[in-house]
Amino acid sequence: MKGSFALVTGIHWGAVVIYVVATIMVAVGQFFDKPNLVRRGFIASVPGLILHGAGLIIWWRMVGHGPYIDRFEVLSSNAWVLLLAFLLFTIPFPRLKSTGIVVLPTAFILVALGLFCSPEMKTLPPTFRSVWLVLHIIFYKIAFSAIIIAFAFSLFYLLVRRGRLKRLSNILPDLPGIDIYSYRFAGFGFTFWAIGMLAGSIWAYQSWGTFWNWDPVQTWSLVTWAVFGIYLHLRRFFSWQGERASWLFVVCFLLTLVSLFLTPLFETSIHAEYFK
Amino acid sequence: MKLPKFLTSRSTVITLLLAISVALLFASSVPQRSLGGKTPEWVGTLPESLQGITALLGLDNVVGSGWFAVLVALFWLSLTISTLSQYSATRALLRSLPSRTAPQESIRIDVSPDDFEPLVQAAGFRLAASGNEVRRYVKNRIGYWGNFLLHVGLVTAVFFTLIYVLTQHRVLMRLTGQEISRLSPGNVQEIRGVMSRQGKLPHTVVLKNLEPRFWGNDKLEYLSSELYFTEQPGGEPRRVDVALSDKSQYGPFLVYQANAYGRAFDLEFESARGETGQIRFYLPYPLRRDGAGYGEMVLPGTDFLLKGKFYADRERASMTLNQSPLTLRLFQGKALLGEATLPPNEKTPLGPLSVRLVQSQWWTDILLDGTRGIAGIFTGFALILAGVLSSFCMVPREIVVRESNGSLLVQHVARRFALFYREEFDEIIQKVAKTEDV
Repeated sequence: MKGSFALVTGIHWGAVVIYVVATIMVAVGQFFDKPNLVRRGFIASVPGLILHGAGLIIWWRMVGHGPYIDRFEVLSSNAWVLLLAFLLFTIPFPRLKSTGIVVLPTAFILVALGLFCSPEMKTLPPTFRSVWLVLHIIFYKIAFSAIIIAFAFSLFYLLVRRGRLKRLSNILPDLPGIDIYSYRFAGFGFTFWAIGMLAGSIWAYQSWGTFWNWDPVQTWSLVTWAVFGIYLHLRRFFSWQGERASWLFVVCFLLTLVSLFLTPLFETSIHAEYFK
Repeated sequence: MKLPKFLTSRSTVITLLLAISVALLFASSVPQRSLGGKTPEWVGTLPESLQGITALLGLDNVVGSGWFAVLVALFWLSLTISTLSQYSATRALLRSLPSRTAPQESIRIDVSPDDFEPLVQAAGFRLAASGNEVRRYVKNRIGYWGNFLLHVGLVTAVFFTLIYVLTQHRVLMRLTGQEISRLSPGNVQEIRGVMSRQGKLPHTVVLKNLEPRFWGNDKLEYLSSELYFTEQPGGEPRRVDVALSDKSQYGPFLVYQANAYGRAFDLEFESARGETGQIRFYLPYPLRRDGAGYGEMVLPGTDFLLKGKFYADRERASMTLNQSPLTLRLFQGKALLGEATLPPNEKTPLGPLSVRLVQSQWWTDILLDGTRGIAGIFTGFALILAGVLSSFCMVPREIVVRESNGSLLVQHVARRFALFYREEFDEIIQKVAKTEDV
């Protein structure tokens, strides 16, 4: 299928509209205790996901490489992986649906942000041809998805403790439950982040003969991972939980944003082409 | 104290970890021998006796020193023994049967063991051990192996790190088109590990052809080199093709195409007094068709600074090399002494000197890596992550069933996140209640 900018942006806007509708249905359903509406909201997000996926595939064919260079394609594919991972995670963890009011808006905001960044067809540097690069990126996107879910639970914890979100009490776990969900998904994020770094090291070794060269993106990624490690360590061995653990996770989340979206903008590195 | 007990004792492990950490901290904060094996400057400033001690202890090459290898080897031994005991412990745990006495948190249900079994099996629990009116069902048994896997990963990663430290051999060489380069420790940048005799260098190498290709937006699309290696004097040359992201094997070495490439200009200088000299001026290839490749160097034996630039295409219309002249500027301090654009093979004045462009050729950097153990290190890390994934994401849960006065006492046990998995147990109990109702 031959694509065009108009087609890809049109499809993406279509997906945004569907996501917005799904978000409204889920939010209204959750706040007014209408489980059927919530369920329909999640079902409504699936065609959006399919349409969005089709848009990404057309874009992939147009530019000749995966969605990992241009700002638009990075944000759009992050949103797609986030929503897919979220919907898949809700199968074994049905309580996760409560985070839909954070995940769904995040997804459409990411896509819309990408569209506002003016999609550009970027060429691929020769060092970016490796299956390890694809794995490196996929695992980071999965980690990012898990981190957003954990962030949603940390936010819920902080709000519920302050007497907010009473309307969501039916669908949210109790306070200790919210805390544990946050902990678990932070653990998933930490693990997938580590796998992403490992895949990146293998890619670097295959391409340059060196597996680590302390470029700013790598260094910040390592720092973020280490801070996640400290968070998990404090929870596991120093019984950190509840309020202070949630605040620490908020810091971890901010670090994640810096690491994934800000550091590539500051310095030239082997990640120089990414997100510019 | 027996050796295995000594090696796995907490104090030994902490001492070894501390020693390795201090060594690595020292190596990352004090300049070490770089690629090329050059001794760092700080060693030269020490009194002679201390220089001897520094060399003996390998303080300028900590990671490549023998004592560091011994520390890593001891740590590996300790981990291996610990891993073996993890294996035995996990096996014993899987087969163990809880005591007959029911803990307080057990729930009493009026259902026969045979009626209860299908309910727990439907929820994914499998019988792990039974006897003495106690049954133990486990879900996600693999989770119990997580710690063992993590240990195996650590053992693998540390073992191959040791191999890496021992066999480290990396050679960076700059090749210039069509020239036969003799590979000897003097004219390549080389770094070697403890086993310094390992990995004999090829005799010569020639860069027969360098091919950069560009996208329409001037970005580099592809960079490849056609190399010819000879193993020994008079030997048959063997062709090796490499490209960015496409390495090749030559003997014990992996051959990598580095990012750096450009044009090497051979220049002949003549001073006003008739003294002549030749230099090779390496300039990086331009990044854009309307941008130049810039470089500078101090002219050997003078205080003149030579700055040069060239474009890919004379007309600046393409990234393909096309008769682009070299422009030179000569400085003394900040004073510009002269500027010239050089036609090939013509003597041209440049400040107090005259200069002739003898020839220009492609140059590129090539890396030979004969180090062993990288794949093993990566495998070790993958095993560590598999261990973390199986113990963190596949948390093993148990349902212990004890027969008591015609009914059952059931207990739910989760190694981690007990609260998180409480619902699955509650669902089973609810199903029991429904069965009772029927």
